[in-house]
Amino acid sequence: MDNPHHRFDAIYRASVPAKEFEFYFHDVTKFVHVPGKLDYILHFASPASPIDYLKIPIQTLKVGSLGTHNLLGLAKEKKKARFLIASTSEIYGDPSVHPQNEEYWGNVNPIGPRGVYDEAKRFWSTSNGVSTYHGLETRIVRIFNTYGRA
Amino acid sequence: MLFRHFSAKAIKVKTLPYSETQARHIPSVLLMIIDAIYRLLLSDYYDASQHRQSDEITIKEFAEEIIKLTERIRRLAISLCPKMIPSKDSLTSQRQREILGWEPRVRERKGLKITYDYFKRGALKSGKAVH
Repeated sequence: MDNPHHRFDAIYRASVPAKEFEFYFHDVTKFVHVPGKLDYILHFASPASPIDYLKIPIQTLKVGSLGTHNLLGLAKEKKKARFLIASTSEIYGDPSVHPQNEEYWGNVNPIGPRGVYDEAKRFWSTSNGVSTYHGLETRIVRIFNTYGRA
Repeated sequence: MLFRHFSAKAIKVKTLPYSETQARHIPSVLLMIIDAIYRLLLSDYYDASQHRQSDEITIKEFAEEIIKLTERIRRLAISLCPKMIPSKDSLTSQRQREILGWEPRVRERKGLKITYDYFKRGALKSGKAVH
């Protein structure tokens, strides 16, 4: 599932056999419905580069908040679908601790230039945490700088 | 994005420009991270789990590795504030090792070579590489 900001459908189609792949052209900040059984939901939607997300700050906030909310709703509807979200080292903001371990809470400026991304991702993580209230199975992968071909 | 940009630029230029900052980075190769995400997805662990290399690296060190790899780029165009040169730290995420049985198999140097070769093949194909 992806929205008009990217054209990943062509990339996916080129690398995955057609019968094993179904692409949904949809924006996760809108209500999400996927028919049939789902085992896993992986939420990676969001621009990650400061160059990109500062061009679309509102959309960046929305995909981290509304997008997460909608996908958690989908996970709840699908009962046993396990939900994984992509967190980021950016949730530490301008860290006062080096290196940052998983126990560190960060040092984010909510009105700083990167706030739209950092706070959206923090909301994302918090939503994931409270989802246990609904008995959802959730996972958080906190990714640092990454490069290279897939 | 920074590291991808750097690797791609190394194909096209003879001088690699960079600005040193206070930030320290822990670049990981995407191929490895996918394996770690898959393990986390199937595991019973529900708290946040970091996935990264154990060693921090500065932008300057990263740029120097690219220069060693390319053999063509001979110098860095440096914009550096001496007071901002960061120190280097190292941390191994216990969770990724103990809970998921995962740790980085590709170190920076090898990962850079894989990435550089990938971009180089693409650049040669499109005729954009500088010889």
